[in-house]
Amino acid sequence: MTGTSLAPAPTSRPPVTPRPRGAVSALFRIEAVRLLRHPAVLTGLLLYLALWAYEWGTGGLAHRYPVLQDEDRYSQVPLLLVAAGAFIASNLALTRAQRSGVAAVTDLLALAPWRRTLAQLLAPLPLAMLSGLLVGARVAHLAAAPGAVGRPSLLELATGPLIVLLAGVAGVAVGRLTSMVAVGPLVILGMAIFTLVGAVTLGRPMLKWWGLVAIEDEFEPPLPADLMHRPVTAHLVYLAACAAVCCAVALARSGVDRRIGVTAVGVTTVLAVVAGAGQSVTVPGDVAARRSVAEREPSAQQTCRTVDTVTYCAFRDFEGRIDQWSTLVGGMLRHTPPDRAADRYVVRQRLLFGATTSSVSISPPLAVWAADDARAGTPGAVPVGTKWGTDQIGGDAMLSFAGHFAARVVTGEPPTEASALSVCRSRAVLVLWLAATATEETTAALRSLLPRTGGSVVLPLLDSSLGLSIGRQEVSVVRSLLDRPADQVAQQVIANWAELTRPETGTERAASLLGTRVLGPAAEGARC
Amino acid sequence: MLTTVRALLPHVFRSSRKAPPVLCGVLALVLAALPLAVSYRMEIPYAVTLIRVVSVTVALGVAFALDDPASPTTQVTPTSNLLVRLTRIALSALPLVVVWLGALLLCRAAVPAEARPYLPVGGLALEATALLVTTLAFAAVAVRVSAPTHGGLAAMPGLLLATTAVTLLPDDVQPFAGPGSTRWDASRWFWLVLLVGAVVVLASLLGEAGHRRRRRSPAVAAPAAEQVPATAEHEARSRRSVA
Repeated sequence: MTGTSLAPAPTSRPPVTPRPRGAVSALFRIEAVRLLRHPAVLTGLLLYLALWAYEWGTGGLAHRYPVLQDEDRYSQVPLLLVAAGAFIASNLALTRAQRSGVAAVTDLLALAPWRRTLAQLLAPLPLAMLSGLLVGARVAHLAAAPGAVGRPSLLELATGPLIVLLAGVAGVAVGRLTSMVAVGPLVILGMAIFTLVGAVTLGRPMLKWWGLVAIEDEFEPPLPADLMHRPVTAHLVYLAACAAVCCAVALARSGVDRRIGVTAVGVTTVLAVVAGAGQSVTVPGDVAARRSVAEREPSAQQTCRTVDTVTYCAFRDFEGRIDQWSTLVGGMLRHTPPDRAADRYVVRQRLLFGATTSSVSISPPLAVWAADDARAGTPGAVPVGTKWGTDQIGGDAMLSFAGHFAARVVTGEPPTEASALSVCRSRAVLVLWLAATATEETTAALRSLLPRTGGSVVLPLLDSSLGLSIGRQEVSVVRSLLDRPADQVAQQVIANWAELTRPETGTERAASLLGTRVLGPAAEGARC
Repeated sequence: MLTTVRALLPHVFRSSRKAPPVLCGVLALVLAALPLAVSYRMEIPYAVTLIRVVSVTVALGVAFALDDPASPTTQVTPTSNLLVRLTRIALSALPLVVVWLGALLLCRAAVPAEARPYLPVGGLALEATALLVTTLAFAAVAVRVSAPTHGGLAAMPGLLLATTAVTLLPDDVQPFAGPGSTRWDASRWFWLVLLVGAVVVLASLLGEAGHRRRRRSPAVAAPAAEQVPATAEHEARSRRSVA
């Protein structure tokens, strides 16, 4: 105890120089870690991963056939869960002092309020980076799927993490504006409603770009990457400007010089409005020209590959799809006589713009397509679209292609108005059975389609007005045939091929040749 | 019991948070009135989506119903916790149920007359009830495991995150099935099971915590008979002193 000195500290010690930058950096580290560990963020991340795991666990990914230039933007929607978590967590962090009843004490802290706000505005950065990693992992996982085609856009991939960052800083801004914790979730609800309205308001495509995520019409077929037009760069600038507005508002409410604060809010708001208005959805002239060529004369942009006796031509982004087409076509030709299976066939990928957006179905430009096929040395090609999958939309497209290829084999003619009309009675039974038994997926597609159509089936060519119309009686015969082993029915098909493919052979006769019978009467006003 | 509830009402009302239910109620009505305000004739699927958004908004309004900062000081009062909490829930939920019904009528009015019979009101009411009770159950869990003021803090974001995640589920297991879709009937089972589960959780958490129930002495647990004359005598004294 004798050594204890109560003497004042030597006055020669140099005064401590305040280092606000270091303090901001330290506070940022603490707040960033707290944000990452916040239950709302963890719940958002967990739900994101749970959705992914569910898709994986139920085998959804195995039959997904992802198109990567679409998957990049699909990755943004599940990330809204993380964004919501970021908003809630950063908002609650701002109101922490208020809720704990120590708000008055924080006035005594050495660090200026605006510097503390700055640290909190920076805190969502690590979470945004983590979101970027998640999106990257998700797209890499999809790219590794056997049926994946196309290439993702880096800008689309960057949008999701930027939304998370924006949500984080928006939570801080709202927290600075009001300490009412009920407001935060209501703001999220408002954003969700705006996104929903943007997604369903197809008549005003510009509206969705004012929200966080611009969801496209899911009935639109996928496009090759160079034919797509989404103002992604402008949207990124818009989101960044919105984040800047939130930062300016939060700092302005944190005691920065009033003139600087008001000016910053004004400038960033103008910037956000200008950036928002700059997201033009009008298709530029060069893209429109490329689309027109791709629709009418795609052969020059496509690569062709021959598998067995069939030549497949696809846009470069969809080359990987040839494997799935050849599996389907091979499955179908296996059930036909050897001379028919040995014929030369061509399958060419086609685009038809406006088929799903217009309320009236449009006719495909068959004459222009025939001329393009003739120039390319591939006459009589069967068109196939870009939709493919085992969901409702992709399954219907898969079955339609199978039907039109089967019609090509049965009638010996490429798809035209006349050849479509000639698929009646026995031919209709044969075409639908060949299409349905091509693969397990086409069988499942037909089974999924029937409850939605009331018994008859229409297989449109690329969503156009041209389609194969198969009546209830013919469908009922095919349904009964699907209950028997396909190889057994195939033997009867091959043995009776000549009669079954004759236009005048009736449905009852086809049924008896195939060892079944017709169920129910023909629909009134049936075309055949 | 009615006397007790009547006596409780003003105090529970005063200590309840009014802003969240009011904000959510107003927002729900504004959303439901929008189509009528702009003379938009809604098709059934859009009307169903709007009613679902209204249901979530209404459910958010009851998230703070169980938040009671004073609850640690009222643990030993003779009135049962169950009764106090049920009163709190009723005060928040009943007006919001009326709001939901009003919003439903507004949405229905925006649907063309010939399509109105096809609006699945029963199924949507089941969804709304399940969402509301689940929010309350979520809040009750948070109040029990965290702090008396953390019910809304947990239930509001929890409901939003859970609802968003559910909407992202694939079509074959989507609880928010489209009206008339093949999944509609099966999806009703999800909401029914959710509702029953939430009711069970809520019922088990609204009363006294188990350890507190055990520690209560018989004298404290059933003092009502002695309380009434004491209160009456006290009131009589007060009246005399005022006179």
